[in-house]
Amino acid sequence: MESRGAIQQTPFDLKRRGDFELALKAYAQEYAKALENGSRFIQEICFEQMFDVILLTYFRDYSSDESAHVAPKPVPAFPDTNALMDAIADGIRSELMEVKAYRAEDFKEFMGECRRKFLPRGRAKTAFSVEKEWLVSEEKRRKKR
Amino acid sequence: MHMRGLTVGGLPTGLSPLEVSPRDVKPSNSAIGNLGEGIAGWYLESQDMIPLARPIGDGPDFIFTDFNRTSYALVEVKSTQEETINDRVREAISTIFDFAGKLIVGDPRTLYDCRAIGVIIKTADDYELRSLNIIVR
Repeated sequence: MESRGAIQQTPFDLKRRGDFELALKAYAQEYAKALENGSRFIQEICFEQMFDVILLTYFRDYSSDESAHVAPKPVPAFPDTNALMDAIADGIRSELMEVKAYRAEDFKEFMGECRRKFLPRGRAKTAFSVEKEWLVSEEKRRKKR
Repeated sequence: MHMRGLTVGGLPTGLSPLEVSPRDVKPSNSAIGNLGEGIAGWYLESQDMIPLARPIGDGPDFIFTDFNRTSYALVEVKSTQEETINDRVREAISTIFDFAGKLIVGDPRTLYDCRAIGVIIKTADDYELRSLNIIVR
């Protein structure tokens, strides 16, 4: 039986507590276990969670915290959606490589699915915890054009 | 003729002063739903199951697993203040079972525990929990 102390270190709890760096590594390990067990659905779930955790990390690092009376950090961080997606893909890829669970085909499929959920067609909201507008600058994008 | 609750012109006047709508004294559906999910999560953890994730977008409410990661529970929670929850639990297990059916095609080695949990919230400190599960390999 797993003790309550150990349960507190699950990726779910780490993410909920805001320990995003540790949660990312823990989900990568769960992904690797699922790959080993042949649990494709769990692989997909862990991949989605990694995607979400990286978004939350960016949001934490680039948003201002006026309540803490600290100098606001520059927002948003990315000139366009492609730059954001590339950064997330790099983050997930490096974590999966670290646990020796990177498979290019799976990665492409899961990343495509996450991208579709993050940028739903029409007016639907993203299924993830962080909205695109919080990280991708409309102003910067317009200037680029 | 002037009717109560209507203006002379026949337009509704809304609630009269001090009148309380049933909606004002009942907790919101979101609050009931969140409370039910919390109770179901506590119940599953007390069964030595470990929370793994809340899926993004569509899918079950929770994914739990065991210590060895040999099985995964796909959990759907229904909560209400009414006594009649069995139909909703049956409906939920059917949805989860269909969902697992699609997964089995790709995951022949994984054991999925499809669980529907109904939580009846009678008062602030009186709950009833009904759990129905089907194990799919």
